[in-house]
Amino acid sequence: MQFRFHWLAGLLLSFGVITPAFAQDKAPLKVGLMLPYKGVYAPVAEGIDRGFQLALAEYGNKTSGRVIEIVRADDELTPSVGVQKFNKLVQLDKVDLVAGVVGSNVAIALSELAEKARKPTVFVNAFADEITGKFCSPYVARTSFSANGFQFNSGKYWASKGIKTAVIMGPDYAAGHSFLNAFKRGFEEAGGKIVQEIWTPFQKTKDWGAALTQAGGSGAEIIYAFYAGAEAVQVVKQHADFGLRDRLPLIGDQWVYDEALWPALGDLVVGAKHITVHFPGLENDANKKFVAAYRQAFKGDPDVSAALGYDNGKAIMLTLEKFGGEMPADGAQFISTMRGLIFDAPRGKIRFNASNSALLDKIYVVEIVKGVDGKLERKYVDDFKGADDLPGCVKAF
Amino acid sequence: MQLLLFQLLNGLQLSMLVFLLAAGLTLIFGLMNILNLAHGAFFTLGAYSGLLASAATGSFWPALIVGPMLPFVLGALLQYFVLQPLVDRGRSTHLDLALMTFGLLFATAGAVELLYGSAFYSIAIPSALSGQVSLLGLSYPAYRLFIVAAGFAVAGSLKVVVDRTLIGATLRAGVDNREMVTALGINVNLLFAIVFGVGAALAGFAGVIAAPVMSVYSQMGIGIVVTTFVVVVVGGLGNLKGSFYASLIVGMTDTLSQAYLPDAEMFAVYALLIVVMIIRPQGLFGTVSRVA
Repeated sequence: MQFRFHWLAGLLLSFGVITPAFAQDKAPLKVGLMLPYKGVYAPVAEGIDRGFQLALAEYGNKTSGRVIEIVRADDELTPSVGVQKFNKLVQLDKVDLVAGVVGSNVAIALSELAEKARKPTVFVNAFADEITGKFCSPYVARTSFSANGFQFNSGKYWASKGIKTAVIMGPDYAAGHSFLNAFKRGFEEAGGKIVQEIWTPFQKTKDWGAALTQAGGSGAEIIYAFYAGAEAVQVVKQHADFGLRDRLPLIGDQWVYDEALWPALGDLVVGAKHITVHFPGLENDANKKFVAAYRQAFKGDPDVSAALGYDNGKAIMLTLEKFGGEMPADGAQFISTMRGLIFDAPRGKIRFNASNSALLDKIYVVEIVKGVDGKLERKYVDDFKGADDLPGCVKAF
Repeated sequence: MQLLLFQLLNGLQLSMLVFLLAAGLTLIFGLMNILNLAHGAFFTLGAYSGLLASAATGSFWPALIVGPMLPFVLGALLQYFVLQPLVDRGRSTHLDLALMTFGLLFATAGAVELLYGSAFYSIAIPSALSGQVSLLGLSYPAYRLFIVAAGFAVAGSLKVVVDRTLIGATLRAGVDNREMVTALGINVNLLFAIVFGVGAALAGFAGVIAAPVMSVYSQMGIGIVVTTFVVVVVGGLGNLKGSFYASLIVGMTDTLSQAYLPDAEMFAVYALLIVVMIIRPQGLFGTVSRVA
């Protein structure tokens, strides 16, 4: 963690917020940060971690004079490991709250534990609708958004742009289904028709030739895809190899055209359109501040994961402020206070619904273009409102 | 009809990619009986050294030559200095080798991640092979046809080398009766190291060939090992002809099930493996002398 200390110290000095040690008269407040630091989602975890640090650094890593200490844990995207690490964080490290968590599978396993341990748990990604639906809990909040919140109105949007038929294509696992089914519901409600659904085995597929050939023969106007990481690279490249770029454009979200993949995709991304909850060029004050701080600390532009990590940290800091640096006796009180927050985040205004899930104020349609300096960047095309979450939470809190 | 033809081409292309990987493993595991789970690591290393070469020269072709070099050297050294001594100790050879090479597979992925981070890279398709080719009224990506051609070329040259040359004969003799060949004054350990290197180089070659259609990243070699072993076992251990046909069967099964029976895709290949193991434990083209 040497390198982290260096830049953090520099950042703090530059803001002039390092204060002498005598201010630390209270024990530090401990935040467990659980992310899949190794493996396929390592880049996501890194982005979130960075954004989270920035949010805390904005407050000098302190809340009401009390130093905040981050205790990191790696859930390896596996529920059983997540459960172990959660117990370790709560019992051994004695953290005051738990943040992070990318995989919905891990999140579902943890929400029951959170309730048992009465430990406030604030998820950063975990987009499955059920997290704050069927499995909702007064001890659990989510600062990002739900699959339905993100994709339902996207379906409506593309249908309203005159697209009548589409193929949906994604990995055959929970997240793939919840995102694309949300898109399908929206698309069909607005009069579009999904002519084919293609589900490829998650993390097993290397060749999309068969799938793309089927899609090419379907007669649809677009392919709407949900993929991330290595799979996204392969899909976008092979889609181009088959000469489908003009005939059957591949539209997707921020993960299909993630900037981490741009080096691998080269010019293939130029002209691609996708939806996103955040991009560095967004015109609002919170974002300008966030992007400037990120550039100074990490010498590059923040990706969506960094923005979501920042929102997670910021929501926690704002809630802590309301308690004056002391954790409430019952963790549920922390979460219900967070639910009452409305704040300006880089992605736009963040507010929560009754089951503790953050809503999307705006979803942006962007096009990837070559900027004046030859570097790739995202150009704003349009925006629309995020949808409400699916109902499903039957608990009252 | 046209769609089916397209899918058959896709299947052929995938088969050849699988074969490139399986060919090396057939030499190493099938023929020399060295259980090498690190085969995926050589695939990764080949892709990354190809990446370096193409980044330095701005062209695909040097990558194809440079890519297999590092796997060759590392593979030969590994066999000579690590795996052979492990075999000579002869405690529980397969278990020792499995643990050793399995660890190596993950260590390589970790080392690559340390050096390159977890970002995704790619090698650009050479301009001569970008675009589509018209074929029987179809337009098919030219690069994919190149993969098919590369598969056939490797299959042909391996067959000639193993069956028709002195090196091939010595290798087969060394496998059959090691003591006798040693007594004839041939350094079997060195020969095995070189053949292991060639097998690893083939994996590296496959890594470079795959790079333009797939993505290059630290974990790329891990998942691919399983499919490769399925091919080698289905084809019959040590049987090049067998792994060629098994590659075709596995590639076609995978592609056609993905196209026409998507729900079965996950287990189609494994169902095939189970059926073959029950009916012909020696593999489709294997002889009875060794059973997997």
